[in-house]
Amino acid sequence: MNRLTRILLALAFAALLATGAAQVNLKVFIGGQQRPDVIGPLLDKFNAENPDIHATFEVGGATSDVQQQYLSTVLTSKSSAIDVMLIDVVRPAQYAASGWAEPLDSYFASADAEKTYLASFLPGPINADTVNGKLYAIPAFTDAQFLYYRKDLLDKYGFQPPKTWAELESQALTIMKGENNPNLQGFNYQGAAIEGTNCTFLEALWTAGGNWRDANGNITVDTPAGKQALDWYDQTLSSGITIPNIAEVATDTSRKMFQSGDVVFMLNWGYAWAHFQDDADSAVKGDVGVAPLPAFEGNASATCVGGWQWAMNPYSAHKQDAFKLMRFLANEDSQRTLAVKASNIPARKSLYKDPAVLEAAPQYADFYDVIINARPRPVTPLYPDVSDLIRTTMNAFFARSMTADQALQKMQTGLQDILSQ
Amino acid sequence: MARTVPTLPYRKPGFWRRLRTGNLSDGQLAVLLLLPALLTLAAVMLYPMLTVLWQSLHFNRLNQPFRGTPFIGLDNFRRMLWGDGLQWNASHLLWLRLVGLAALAPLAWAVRRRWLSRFAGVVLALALVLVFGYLLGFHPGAGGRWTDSRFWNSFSITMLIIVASVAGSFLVGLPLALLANVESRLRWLGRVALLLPWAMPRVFAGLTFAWLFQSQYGVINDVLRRIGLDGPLWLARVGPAIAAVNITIVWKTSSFVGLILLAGLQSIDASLYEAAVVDGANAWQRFWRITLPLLRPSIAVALIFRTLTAIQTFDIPFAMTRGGPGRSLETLGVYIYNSTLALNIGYAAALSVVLFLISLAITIFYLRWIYTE
Repeated sequence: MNRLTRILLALAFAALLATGAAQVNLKVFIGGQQRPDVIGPLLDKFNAENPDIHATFEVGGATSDVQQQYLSTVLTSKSSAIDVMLIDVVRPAQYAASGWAEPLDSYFASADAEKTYLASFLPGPINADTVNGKLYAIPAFTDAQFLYYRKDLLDKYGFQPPKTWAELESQALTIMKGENNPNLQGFNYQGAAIEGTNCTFLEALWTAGGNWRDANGNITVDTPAGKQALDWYDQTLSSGITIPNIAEVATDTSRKMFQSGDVVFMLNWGYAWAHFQDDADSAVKGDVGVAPLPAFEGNASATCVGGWQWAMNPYSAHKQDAFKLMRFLANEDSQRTLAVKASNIPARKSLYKDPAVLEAAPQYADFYDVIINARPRPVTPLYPDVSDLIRTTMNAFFARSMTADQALQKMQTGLQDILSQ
Repeated sequence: MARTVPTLPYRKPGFWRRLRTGNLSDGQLAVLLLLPALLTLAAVMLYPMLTVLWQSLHFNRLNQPFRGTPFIGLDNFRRMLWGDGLQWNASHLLWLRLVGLAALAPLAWAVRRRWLSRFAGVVLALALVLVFGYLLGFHPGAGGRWTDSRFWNSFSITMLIIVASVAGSFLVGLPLALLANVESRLRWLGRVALLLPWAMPRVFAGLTFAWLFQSQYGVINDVLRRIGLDGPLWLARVGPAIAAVNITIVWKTSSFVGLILLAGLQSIDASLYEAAVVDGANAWQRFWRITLPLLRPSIAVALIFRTLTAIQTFDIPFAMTRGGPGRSLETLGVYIYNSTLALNIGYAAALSVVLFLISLAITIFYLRWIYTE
């Protein structure tokens, strides 16, 4: 290092210190899968608009679970190193109970201002972010499970997207028989012991008119609705519309199978769409349709809400500035950028009619009907335990080491144990 | 009047002076020289172990800070072994007593009459208690309650893996060692084949075999299909998954057993075989009467190391199925990992203490066995 570079470095460092002293530094935490390449320019824009604040981001962990482990450590040690964090839609209840997220209501000018502000968002994410009447996070983007179907195959056999599970089964059987392709699967979903498998269970339960818990707080899994749900999955395996090794299938395995053209119907999240249309190896480009999930006869369609939320570290040293940043990141422009550049499904209603968004992602017009009906997974501070129980039991059920009745009984008593702690 | 002579009391030179002049006693010098190593060990081994022990007596869930970290005594262990759902009703206890009387008494008598060695007596008694206790429903995890059976499930799968994979690695490892010991130009090939699986990290082996065992596009089922067989859904069914994991562990560990046995084989004096040939012993007799008895020390060493690593089995089942399907391959190691990652620190610490006790018991058992025989 020659003398000149040293002097320059020293000068640069001094300049950094001088500007740093006058500025408020904010740190945003996001996960590896959340497109740092799109969030970065958003923060640059915010910094340009707010010269007295300097926001930077930190990336950690590629899955929701890994990110949560890191955030748990940071928040348990009451660290102020992070100001704003992006958290999964299943977390706000746990964060509220643990004191890991700042209640945001007092940051709005008035209760009416808050109400107006929140009214522009979809109801599903707002419900998930509200715990005991207090707002703990602002939706960044949303997601849901959709019924993906092969438009070309349904057209060929003259079918409309199925409204009931029975209809899905008969369509799948007809198409499988007609195509005479031994690799063709009628119906694919997730059965591995992963977070998405909770949705596999809940969606069947909801579309049978049931829920995991009734209004009085009693666990209602081992019920006729639960039985109808698991009997349906038994049926998918015995009729052969679903592959027998569904217990091995995780979210992206499903997506790849559908993408290679081997699946007629599939349950999956919004991210799969962009892969089908854009990936070079996609065999189903332009042949994919999206519909609300079928239901059992006489019941309404339902699906799992997904997505991510901006929450504030209660130990942050700059809460007012952090709130300003959160509102910026959740505003219409930012969500439009996320929708267009990162395929993140907007959490704001207006963007579903936005020409720029619809040009980049015309499927969002179809998504809206599904997303508006999306329901939250169990809202409880003990969700990690609940999730672990449901996914491993369902995985054992799909691996045929537990019957429908055994699985229901196990989830029923297990949930009672967890929630009576 | 007698004059008292003032006697100067003998002053031993101070510690540092003796250290400088090299006058420390042997014991002191030994302590001094060992101290850095002992302190390091205390910092990196003893302190974490004591912390785990202390944690195991607490309720501590990092993701539920609203419940605090109260001291709960042995409650984590109670929960682990008996859970909350066990009914200690009279019938369980009655059966236990009957089994105890019916089976253990004759055993004790047989040992006393020296029909059985004490060692065999203990093993048989343990086996009887386990088998009959399980069959008669005296199973602390019984009752279908989630919190109870998880520990016993992971305990039994760990025991199964110990028995199956240790036996398997000897059945494969010994022939490999014999093969690599044959005088031939190609024996380097056998030795390389012995080293390769041993050098491979276990997680890699697990991931590789998970692909091989994949039921739709895995190589193993493809080969089976080509010869007209319908392979099982390896990792999507409980029985085949347990078999697949054990096969992988045997593949990975039999080379270790083979290497140790090979070292043992090379230390056997060739003249013994020559003498046996002169005496007219056939190959089978030479193996049973010379090779195997002289291999005993090597077998013991390999057995201890294999058993101890089998108790801690984690990498391969975790990499292959994440402990699934369901919880069927959740070994104690995987259970500890899962509890820690569920941020249930107190309970994970209690599980670690139990795993430590099991390892300790098996080690003591082996050591006594080696030193007595």
